[in-house]
Amino acid sequence: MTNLRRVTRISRLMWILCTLATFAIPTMLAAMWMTFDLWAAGHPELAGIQPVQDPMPTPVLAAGFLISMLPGGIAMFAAWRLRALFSLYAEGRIFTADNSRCLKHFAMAVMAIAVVKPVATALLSVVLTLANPPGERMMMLRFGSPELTILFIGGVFLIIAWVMEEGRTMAEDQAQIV
Amino acid sequence: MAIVVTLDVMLARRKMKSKDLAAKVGITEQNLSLLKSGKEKGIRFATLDAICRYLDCQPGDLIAYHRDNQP
Repeated sequence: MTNLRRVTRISRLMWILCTLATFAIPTMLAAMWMTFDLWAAGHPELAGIQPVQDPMPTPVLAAGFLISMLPGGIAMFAAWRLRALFSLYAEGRIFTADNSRCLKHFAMAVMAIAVVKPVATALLSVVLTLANPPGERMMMLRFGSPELTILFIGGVFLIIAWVMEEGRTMAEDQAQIV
Repeated sequence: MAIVVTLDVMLARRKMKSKDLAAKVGITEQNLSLLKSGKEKGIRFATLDAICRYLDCQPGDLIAYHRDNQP
């Protein structure tokens, strides 16, 4: 099998997975917040946050869902742009302006997640502990190795997008040689 | 650019249509048209070899250098 055929075949599968991911993200977040009381205790994402309300009222759960859709919405956009990129690869289009644009958007979305996630965590901690007695309400700020890793990975993809742009220029030059 | 493509002159001499030459050489008619008008950035030796073979000519019959055309 030629390399291009392998790329087009696997890209069709990746397109399907990215499409599923785009719709799975809000669905899973909604399911998580609807079953909050089952998983919240001991979850690493909520480590250090101690809400007193049990069960958690629906307005708080709704607010929690909307806040987690801040990075979640960006993740949906990232998956959507990746889907567009794999759609191009599935058509055998490798070095076009659309390819580098999709990859750039994906990279910037990934980096944005790293920035927005700590903000979402801070807002979540406030919303979940707002009903706590005075002195037990909290605002948690967290920026650690997971966020740095996401930022680094986004940076890598951004550089690859710039390299792809160079590849596009070379491919266009090559196309003008008969 | 000082390089001028004289392929159309050779086609007229051999009384061959661009469409036929393009089919024989294995390039699109559009690419041949761009080549004739000098809008292509380059030509592969394989393509040049094929054109010379089908038109029974030399590479120098297809391209010329005109110093006056220098920008």
